[in-house]
Amino acid sequence: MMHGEIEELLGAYALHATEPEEDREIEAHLADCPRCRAEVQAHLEVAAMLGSSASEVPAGLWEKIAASVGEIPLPGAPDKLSVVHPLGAVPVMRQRGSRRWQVTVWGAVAAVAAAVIAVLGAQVSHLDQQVQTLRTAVGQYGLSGAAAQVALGPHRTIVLTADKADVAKVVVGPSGTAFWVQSSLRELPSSKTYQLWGLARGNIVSLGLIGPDPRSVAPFRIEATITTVMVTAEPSGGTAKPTLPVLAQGDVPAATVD
Amino acid sequence: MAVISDLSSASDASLAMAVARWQEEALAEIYRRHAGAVFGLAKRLIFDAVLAEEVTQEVFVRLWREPERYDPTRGSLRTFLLSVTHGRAIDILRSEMSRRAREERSRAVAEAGYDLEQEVFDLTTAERVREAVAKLPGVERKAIELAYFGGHSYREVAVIENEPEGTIKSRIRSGLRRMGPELDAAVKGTDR
Repeated sequence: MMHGEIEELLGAYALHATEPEEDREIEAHLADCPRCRAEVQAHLEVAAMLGSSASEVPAGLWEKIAASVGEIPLPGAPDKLSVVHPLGAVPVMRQRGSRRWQVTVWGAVAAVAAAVIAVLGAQVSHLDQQVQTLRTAVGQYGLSGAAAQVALGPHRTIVLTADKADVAKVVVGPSGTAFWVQSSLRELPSSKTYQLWGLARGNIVSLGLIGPDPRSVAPFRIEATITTVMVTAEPSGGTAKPTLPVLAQGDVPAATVD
Repeated sequence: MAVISDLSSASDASLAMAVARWQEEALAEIYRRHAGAVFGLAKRLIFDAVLAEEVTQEVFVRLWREPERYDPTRGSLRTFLLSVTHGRAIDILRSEMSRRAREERSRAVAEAGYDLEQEVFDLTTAERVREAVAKLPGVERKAIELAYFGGHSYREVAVIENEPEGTIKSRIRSGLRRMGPELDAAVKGTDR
């Protein structure tokens, strides 16, 4: 369809009165046409006004919604009260009477998780013993152990926050190799990915894709010019520019030993 | 995780972001603010309280599962929720299962002297919306009414009205554009 033909359909589109094949063409056009996007949004606002009504909601409906929400199996979703789980931990969502969730850590994975927590706590009174333990962990558990090793030496810890609460931690070694070690972000659908961004001299650059599961992240690099790190949720292939909202962000601290 | 300390004063946009960060309380506050409108629209379209309840449930669960679908930079959360509600209700209305209900609705509409003005109930904006609707040319009102509340595609409206499809497309677009400025103040008055 030509631009003019699509424009003529925008009103019907906003009222869900177009055909599916037309919707596809319109939506493809909207992706590249801010003027038409603005027109559709204006039509949607009018439609919402027409459709607004002050109706009493049936009793018990919220309870049904809350129950459905609680049943959604999204490993990685945090308890509201928990701050972070270590990488490698497998949270399990369980409903309680209050519909809050409890995070538990499974079996063997808990061992390396506990080790990482201990190291990040910077309590290295028995360093040699811990290094040996962690080297074993690297062999057994790969990434988590490697991250823990970085944390043993000179490193920086970037704390990504949202609304002043910790959401994720990134440990950066002296060479700029970075490990995403903790996160309370929830798992995304497979069609989505978390994407990391860095702010360098006023420019936003992509640092890489995390994938939909924020518990399993490959090491990445943070160049010395990066001053702030951010994370967004994007389509699975990633994007050239970040999409709002920024889910969490944190400043890169000066290169000192934590 | 961060918790918005005063949910009742938080903006819709910040509540939506909190939902993206998995705060059930934020979803509950959004529900408190907008569930009445969502359920009301679904019920008006479907004429079935049980199905309307299911639609309402779907709308809020979907917001929880796919919060990224709402872009605060594009418009209000209420507009987004009502658009999702309308789309889902229209799907049901057009489905094979609800054919009978649709026929009953058409009969009820015909018997009641269906009028777009009578469909506008929002207590906070009803007067302004009624005024805007009243100013529309009759043919534009009818086209919007059949599409939005009747669940008809513009092609179906063209058949009902015995007019070319292009005419109906233009009437719907023109009517919506005409009402926009009229309703602008009311929109600003109700959105957070």
